[in-house]
Amino acid sequence: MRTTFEQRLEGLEAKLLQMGQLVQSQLERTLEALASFDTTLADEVIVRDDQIDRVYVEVEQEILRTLALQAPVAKDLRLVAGVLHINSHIERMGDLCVNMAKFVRITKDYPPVPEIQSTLTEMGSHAQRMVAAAMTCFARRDLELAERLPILDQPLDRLNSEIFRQIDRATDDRALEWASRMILVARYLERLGDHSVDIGEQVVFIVTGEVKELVPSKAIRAGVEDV
Amino acid sequence: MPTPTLIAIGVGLVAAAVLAFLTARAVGRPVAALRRTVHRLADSTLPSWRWTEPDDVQGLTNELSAITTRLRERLDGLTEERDRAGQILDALDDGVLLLDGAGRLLVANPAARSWFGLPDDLRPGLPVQRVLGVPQVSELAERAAEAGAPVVGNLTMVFPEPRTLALRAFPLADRGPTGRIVVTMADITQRRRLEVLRRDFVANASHELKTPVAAVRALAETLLTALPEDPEAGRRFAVRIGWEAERLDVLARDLLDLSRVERGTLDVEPVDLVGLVKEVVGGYADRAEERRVRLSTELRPSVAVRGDRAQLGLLLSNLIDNALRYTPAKGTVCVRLDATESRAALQVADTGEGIPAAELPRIFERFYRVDKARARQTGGTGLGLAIVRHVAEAHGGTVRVDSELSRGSTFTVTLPVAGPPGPVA
Repeated sequence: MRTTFEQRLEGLEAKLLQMGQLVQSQLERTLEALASFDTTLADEVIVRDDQIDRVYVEVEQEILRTLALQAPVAKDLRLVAGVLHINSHIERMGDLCVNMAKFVRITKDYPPVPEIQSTLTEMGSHAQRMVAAAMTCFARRDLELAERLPILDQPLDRLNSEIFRQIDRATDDRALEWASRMILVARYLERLGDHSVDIGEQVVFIVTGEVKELVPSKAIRAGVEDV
Repeated sequence: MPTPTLIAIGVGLVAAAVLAFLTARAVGRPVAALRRTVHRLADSTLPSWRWTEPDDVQGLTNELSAITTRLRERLDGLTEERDRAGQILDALDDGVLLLDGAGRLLVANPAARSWFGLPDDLRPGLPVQRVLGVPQVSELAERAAEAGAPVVGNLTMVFPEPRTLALRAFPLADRGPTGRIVVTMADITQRRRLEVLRRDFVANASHELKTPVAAVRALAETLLTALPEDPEAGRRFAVRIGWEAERLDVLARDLLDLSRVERGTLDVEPVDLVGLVKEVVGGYADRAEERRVRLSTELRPSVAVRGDRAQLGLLLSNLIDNALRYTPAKGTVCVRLDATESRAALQVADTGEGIPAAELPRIFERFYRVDKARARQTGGTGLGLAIVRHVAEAHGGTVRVDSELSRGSTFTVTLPVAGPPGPVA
């Protein structure tokens, strides 16, 4: 009985990591599509989201079954509960990719603003790093990395507010139209970072049982701002 | 002798004999057993050992100590062998992982540990997917186990560092516990980057060549139709064909220069920089006058470096050419030469339009242009600064740019000066 239970947990975890991988490749394609105005690639992203949704439902059903049939306690219960949360964070990240991919078609005929484009590119690579770090954090149950996630997230927040300042670089109405859509893209990228930090919080809960909100300490925040 | 004494002696002798017999048996049996054991030990551990059937305890002791010595030697040999294998793993640039049949990580060498950000005292026996945080490695290992043959794949990571790895998993079928898989990983990040660079270069070069060629074709066609009716227009077209041909010529020359510089063979000799600067600047006097730009020099007497005179001349003429190109009439271009004990500094400063800060990191890339729309108008090939950087670096030097919009740009090349002749090469 115990072995099947443990196998079940391991299977759940493997599914979650697989989903994490799917989201990472979705994000990569989305960023590529945005940078090169590639609508075919963007459409692929939108279609492929079904895969993530499918695994999401599978994981959720498996968790409910586990809760009902095995009634896990203590550490096991924390793992199951944590996986339930992380599962929905990953699914949300997939949806954010779809939201961004939809903008490729909408904005493809508008003139881009180079400054905003390069800020978005920078945000994109930060977001990719965040998602990968969050998945690594979960796979390794790495508490130290969980604490570092909010620090890694700060450039995303900073760049997101920078985009607002860059909107005046749009010199005509059409460029402004493009820029206003891209503000939303920046917002979604910033949200990806937040979801990653939340995954770190779930890892802390799984390992320690502590529910805490991860925020960088003041000292660290000041240090990062200098960099 | 009284009888009781004799009896006592007799009894004593008999008792002694019995005792001696018993003792001999008590000691002899275990000694024989011990001898057999030692023999077997010698046989199984030291196949080439010459066994000299010991017949007393001393002999046995000698055999045992000899065997102990041999065993120690063998153990030392094995330890040495293991350490050597470990040292090789530690020194490898490539990452190596050893997984057991259940996909648990047994060994990760330092290269692999640093790429995945793993601690040095990594606990062996954890599922590899959990340790690495990516599923690709265990998937590859599973495929290799199923196929019973090596399987290759790629892994692109973004955390802890962006990196592309080429993976190869192969099952260890015949030796050791079954199901073990070795995964080797090579870092191909740099190679990928170079591939992209090369692809871009070919694409850019073809594009740059195509534009003037297309213009020449169109102009030639127009010329053919225009010539009979309007000889004056024909003359204008012919002039423009000449311009385009000139552009092609400049581009071909720059491409040749760049390839020569990138090949990295230097014709090293002592070069008098002062003389070189005067010579190159002299060659641009007419161009400067034509563009109404003041071209001046501020030179420190006698600065010499060791290097390739022709290439250094190329570096300087590219910098001056650029400066003249982007400086409007009534501006100035100043070439300065300064030196410390170890470094020579060559500066070309202009009062031109300057370069936006965001573009500065990229201007030394081949075919990179700050203002794409104006590139044709100014007539540069986009290769000049790439040539400058290559020459500077090939000479152990650096190139730096300081620029302010509408104030001008200053390019500074520092080169190691030729030391006094002596033991230092």
